[in-house]
Amino acid sequence: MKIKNIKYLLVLVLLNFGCNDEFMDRFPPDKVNDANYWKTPGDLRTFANQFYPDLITSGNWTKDNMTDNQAPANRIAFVWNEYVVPASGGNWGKSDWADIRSCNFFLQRYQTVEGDPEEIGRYVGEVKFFRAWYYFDKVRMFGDVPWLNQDLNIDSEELFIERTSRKTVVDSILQDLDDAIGQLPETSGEERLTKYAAQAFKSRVALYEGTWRKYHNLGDFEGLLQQAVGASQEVINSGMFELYTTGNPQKDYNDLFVMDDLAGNKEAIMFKRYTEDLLMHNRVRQLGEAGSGFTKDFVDTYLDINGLPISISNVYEGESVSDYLREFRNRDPRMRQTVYTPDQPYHITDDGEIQYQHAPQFDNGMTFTGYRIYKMFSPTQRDFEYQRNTIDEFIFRYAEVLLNFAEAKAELGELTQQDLDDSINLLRERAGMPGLTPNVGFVDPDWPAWEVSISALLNEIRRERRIELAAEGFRFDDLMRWSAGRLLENPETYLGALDPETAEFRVLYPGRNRVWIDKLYLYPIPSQEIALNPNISQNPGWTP
Amino acid sequence: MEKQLQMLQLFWLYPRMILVVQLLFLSFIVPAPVNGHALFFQTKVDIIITGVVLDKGGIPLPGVTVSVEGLNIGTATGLDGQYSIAVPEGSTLVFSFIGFESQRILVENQSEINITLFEDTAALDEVVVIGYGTQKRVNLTGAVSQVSSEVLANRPITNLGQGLQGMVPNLNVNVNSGAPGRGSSFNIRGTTSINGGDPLILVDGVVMDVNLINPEDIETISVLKDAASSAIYGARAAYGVILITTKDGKRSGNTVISFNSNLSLNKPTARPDYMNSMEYANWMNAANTTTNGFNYFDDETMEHIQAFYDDPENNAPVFRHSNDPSNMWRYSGNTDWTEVMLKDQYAINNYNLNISGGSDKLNYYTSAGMLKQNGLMKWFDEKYERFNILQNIEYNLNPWLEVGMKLTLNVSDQKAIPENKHGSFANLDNLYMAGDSRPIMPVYHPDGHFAGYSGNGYFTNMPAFLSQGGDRSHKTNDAWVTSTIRLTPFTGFAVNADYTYNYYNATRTHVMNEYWDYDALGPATLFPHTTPNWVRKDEQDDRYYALNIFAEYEKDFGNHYFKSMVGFNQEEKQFNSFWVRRSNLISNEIPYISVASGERNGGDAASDWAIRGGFFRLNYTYNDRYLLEINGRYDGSTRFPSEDRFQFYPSFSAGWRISNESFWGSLGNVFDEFKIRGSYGSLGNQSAVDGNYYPYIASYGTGEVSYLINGEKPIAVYPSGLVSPSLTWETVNQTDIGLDFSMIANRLTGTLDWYQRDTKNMLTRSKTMPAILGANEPQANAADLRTKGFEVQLSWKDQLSNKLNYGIDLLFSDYTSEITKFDNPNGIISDYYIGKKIGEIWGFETEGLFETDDEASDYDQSQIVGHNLLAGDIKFKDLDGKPGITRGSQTLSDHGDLRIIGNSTPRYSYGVRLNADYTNFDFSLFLQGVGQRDFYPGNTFMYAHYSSEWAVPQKFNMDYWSPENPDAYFPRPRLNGGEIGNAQTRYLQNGAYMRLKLLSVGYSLPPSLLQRIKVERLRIYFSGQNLFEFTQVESIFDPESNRVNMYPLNRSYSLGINLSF
Repeated sequence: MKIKNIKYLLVLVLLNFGCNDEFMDRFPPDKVNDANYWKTPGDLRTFANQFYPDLITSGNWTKDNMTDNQAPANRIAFVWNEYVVPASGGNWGKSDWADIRSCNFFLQRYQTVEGDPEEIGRYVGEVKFFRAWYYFDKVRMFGDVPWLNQDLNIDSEELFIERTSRKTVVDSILQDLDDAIGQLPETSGEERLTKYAAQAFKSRVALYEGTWRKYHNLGDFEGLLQQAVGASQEVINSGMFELYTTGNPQKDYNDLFVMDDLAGNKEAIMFKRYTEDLLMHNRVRQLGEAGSGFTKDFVDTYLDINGLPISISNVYEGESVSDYLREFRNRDPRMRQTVYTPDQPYHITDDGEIQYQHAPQFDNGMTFTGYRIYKMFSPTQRDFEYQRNTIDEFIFRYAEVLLNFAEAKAELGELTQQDLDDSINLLRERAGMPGLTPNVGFVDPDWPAWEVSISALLNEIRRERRIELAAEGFRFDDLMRWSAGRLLENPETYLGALDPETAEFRVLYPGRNRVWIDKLYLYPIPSQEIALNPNISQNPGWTP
Repeated sequence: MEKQLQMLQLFWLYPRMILVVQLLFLSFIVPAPVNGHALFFQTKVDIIITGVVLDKGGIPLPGVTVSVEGLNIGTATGLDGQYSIAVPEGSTLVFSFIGFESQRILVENQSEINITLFEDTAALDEVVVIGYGTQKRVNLTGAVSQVSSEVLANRPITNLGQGLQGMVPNLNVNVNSGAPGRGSSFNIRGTTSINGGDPLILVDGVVMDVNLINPEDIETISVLKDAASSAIYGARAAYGVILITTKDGKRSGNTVISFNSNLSLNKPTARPDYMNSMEYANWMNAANTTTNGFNYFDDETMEHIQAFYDDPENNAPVFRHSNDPSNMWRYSGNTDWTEVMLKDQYAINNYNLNISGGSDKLNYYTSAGMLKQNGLMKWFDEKYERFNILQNIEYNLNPWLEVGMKLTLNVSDQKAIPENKHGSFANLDNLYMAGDSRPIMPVYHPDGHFAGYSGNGYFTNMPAFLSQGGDRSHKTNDAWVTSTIRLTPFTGFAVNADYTYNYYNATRTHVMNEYWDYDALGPATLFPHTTPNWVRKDEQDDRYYALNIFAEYEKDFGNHYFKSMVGFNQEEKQFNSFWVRRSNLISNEIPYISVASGERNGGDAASDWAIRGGFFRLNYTYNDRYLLEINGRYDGSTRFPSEDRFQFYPSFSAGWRISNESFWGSLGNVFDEFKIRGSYGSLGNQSAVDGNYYPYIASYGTGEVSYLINGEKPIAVYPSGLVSPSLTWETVNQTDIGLDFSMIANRLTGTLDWYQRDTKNMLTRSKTMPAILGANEPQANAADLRTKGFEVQLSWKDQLSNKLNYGIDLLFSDYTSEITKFDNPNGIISDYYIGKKIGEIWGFETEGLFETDDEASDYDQSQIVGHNLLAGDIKFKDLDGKPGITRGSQTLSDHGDLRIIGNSTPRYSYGVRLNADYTNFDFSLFLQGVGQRDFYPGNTFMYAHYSSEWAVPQKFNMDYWSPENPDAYFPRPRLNGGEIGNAQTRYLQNGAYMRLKLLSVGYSLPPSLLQRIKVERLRIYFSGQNLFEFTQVESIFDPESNRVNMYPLNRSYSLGINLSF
């Protein structure tokens, strides 16, 4: 190359590289975005998948540590009034609102999808169900919460709205659920949401809010209770569900919670499937090392086999220093299927050897109260292995719907013998217990100290709910909606079993007394949120 | 399998074969040792020589060394410049003096030799590497520091960062991990942008991972600090540029072969020091009693712990609890897990061989380096090996055409511990010290099996896991080819072009092995956290291209000197990766996807970026006094939307060599050079969007869902985050005023710089929004930051009359940064706000510990902690006078009893470097430190045990409150956290430190001896790194890294050899 040619080369080079051309325009090669999504019903289905892991199951036993049913070795700060207002987070952080944004994101965009309207409607129904699911969670914790029906951006005015009243929010939740019920299919062979799952959830929400309004004196609760009755009835009348039973009251109830496969189990309105290697949980192992246990107050709630409370029953044998089993005799058969007794297998090795644990144990790592949780516990070696459980769990269990139905009816004063026979008495029957009648027939002198007085019938329905749904994570919500937080002040709610060494009931937290403060009915809003949006008010009793 | 073998050959064997072939080849072409030292002296008759040494002005020079070449004979001139020396006839006298050119005179029959020494202008002619060119130091108008390879030589360093730490004022090197294969991070002149931002690091003009480079191959390191000197790199240079050049052969006609080797032993500078079993058990009992009213360990357990503690010979560290008829052991041991887990020291080996040389047509430099590093774990054989091959060749094809080629191959091979059962040790920096290392667990059960999981379900035995649980391997291949061409068609004009291609490949294999775990009696079970076993393979393939073309023209018109440069740069990077995972290996020993039976999972990812820019530089010098420089770059990045993509960045700088002015007059006798300079420039920054190559495009997330639909875990699509559509460059404006001088015959040189950097429109999370937004705020150009600082470097070099050469360098620098704009109308203190100093720590002022329960219960701290206060709990001071201790609304106008209690920015960084050599000995020492810094210890290893029953306290945590120890440092034991979790004055640590970074002593064998074995140079040395430090932080924390659960930094003791012939 001649020297003088260099200038041509230079010109050539410079001409070759313009400024803004394809070389400089780049897009993520491996990502989807607004432009290439929202085309087919499959897109909707894929988007809706994200919400399913958030469905809470019957394996939610740790939540009952906040209640009078169970006591953990390390006290839970909130119910001991040791919770302080957090600066941020506290279940009101950006990630806690992300799911609601996700639902709204879908509902703002799905309209461009083309395809079978029924299929599209199904996934719209799913997302509406989930928006209701997440909002119900917010309402339970905080009461009034801002209702959002679109995904926000930083210039959205909605960011600075006041908290929407819980009445409006719950009305919106129920509207979403009605939409979902209208669009979801009757059955799903693949563990997706169905119409009846949405009905079951609706009965839960409506009963929760109906009783909350009633017992927190907000008025206007009858309509909600009727909706609870209606939704429960839809499930019952479908004829698709029934309680699981083999006719063995000593076993059926316990078996129900340790089944490897709930497919085809008619008590499961919806269940969460677990499969070897693919998705497994750790519940049995956790229960083996629970560091928690049932309280004396809880075990005393079980009726005797004659249907009478221990306070007036003549078959109750009381506790014995030398015989732990004594207080289990002649009681509701569900008691021994919920609380471990040393005559039941604790561990079955792979070789088939059966091992038993003595009771009561007071070990802060294992059975803190002396009353070990045996419901949902499986003694086999395989299930005890860490994170290897494939026992399926209920998302919506038919028994809850029956309990919702009976309670809502009773709150409305409409509960008939027929209603009882269609609900509570089915549960009693499976457990081998006598039926309940509208007039109850007895008055329990050890009646819980309800703040708002209730009928004997309602008291027995609440007892039935406490027994049947024990360790499934319902009790705290129940106490809150019944305005019954003060029950936690009862020292028996943190008392354990009779200690053979001292011949006294085990005092779980020596020197500590639990005092209920009404502010605990709602969680506080993080202080930074109030600083950012002065329209947000703090919940009563909490200092900003 | 065959494929894998081929790959192995390609990347493992091939580099080694190249090396062998090259060695063979060179052994033929290397000429025999060169003449010059051919004669070996026989001692002849001594004659006495006297004389005087003067400078060019006729003034006598005292202290000039007069020596005889090749012999250990010498003297120095006196105050009058006179000397006298007895020398053998026929020898050569050498007159040398620092700052002056040496002179050699052959002694024949003279008896008097008078000499005039001339100033060594080479010192003034020092050339500094700058962007796309070089510049004489005296003509620099920007703030540039350059260090040569000497600072890296002969040290037991494994990466460049360790070697550069403290060597350049305001080049802040963060070496926060000593883990095998881990590198350092760099910063120039302090806080850059609130989202960080690193300097651009170029090796021979292209972006390379400096942690993969062999420090031995480095020729110079140039740090461009101000906007004027870095502007030529435009949008990536806002926070400075580090230019690294690699070695070239010298066109001397000689071939030099050198071999360097170094072996070091490395001890951790700090390691955890846990409570023993009794201390731990007592603490837990006290804590649980405060919180829950009863002892944590029941009486039966305590008896066993006590028994083993008192008499480990006759008691077992395990027992069967009467409560628990299961097969599980309960534990009552007393294990020092630090001792069990960590070696006292480990070795690093470094070998380097290079061959360089050249003729007038050609020069070459070939090097091969190998680094082998072991690790600190006792139960796992960690390994890191790095091989570097570098080949630089330049040919002059004819007088106007030079072509060159550079080949680099960096291969690394690492074996590391597997992720732990919680998956939390994904980062290789983590030291395997699990949180649940409670002293009561023994290493082994009485039957010899590892203690742990099945024995008692609450524990994980780290040795069991590390020695059986699997491993991770990480192999990288980083290959670079650069072709260069330089045309010089006529004097003063040159055109340069270079094109670089890089292929980077990384293969990661992670294996989780099944192993047996034993309980007290029964049959073993498989350790559940690693069951089923699995293997995961990750493959990453990246490509990078860079093209630079630039032309220079230089011309002198009498007093006017012009230089200009114009050029073009374009770079592109493509990332591609995929992974496959499969469980249920048929055998632990064969971790291959094809030999497993479980579910297969996989994934992949791709992304890319490119930049393109045109740039120029103009220099004008008038009469060697007035210097002017203008730089500019028009730069574009694919990371911004097309409307905002291109920007023009100008910079200006000027200098005045006052010492060349006539009025400087007699000051010239003292000052050899005195220059003031100033610069201003504006640069763009895209580093805020590092790792996000498409920040203006909202992409949806995808992921697998933990819920079985139709019996499978389905894929879900998640909504996109929020993005701001109008993202554009951050702009960084920097002003720099500097002063360079050299005085006393160039013995003392100094550089001072003051700067102010305004980072405008910082890309950051925009104004904090209420949480109901449900997404993170998008990045926007929302904030401004101002950083101010200064740096000083003073160097003294001299030679004493007894031939002792020595030098001292002092480095000192400081900076502070403050937010000057941020949209935070409510003044939320956890957010940025105008006037916020970067690094500030908000917290409570601790008044002390409550002395009595009554005092405690009367005090209202209920908004901070929920529990009832007792004696020994922490008492915060009421600063706002309002009732109770509060955080107010945590805003600037209402922050309750919070105040700023400290600042974590390191202030007053300094370095002191001493070098000396005397006859055949050399010595160097380097002290480095930080004058002021507040360090708030992280939760772990300081007070985590107050909130988590699984965290094991350290020995120094023993100083906790009890009625017997009311003046304790730590409060009353508790389990549910509380006051101690709040930042407060009481636990703020003084993070200042001074550390002996380097001490080395070397001895070179005398040339007379070496000539016999035809060796040019043979030096052996000892070198120590991080030998000791002065600091007030607890000894479990290294004052530099301030972390305990990270791989510690090392104290290194090394021996090395340098050999060249």
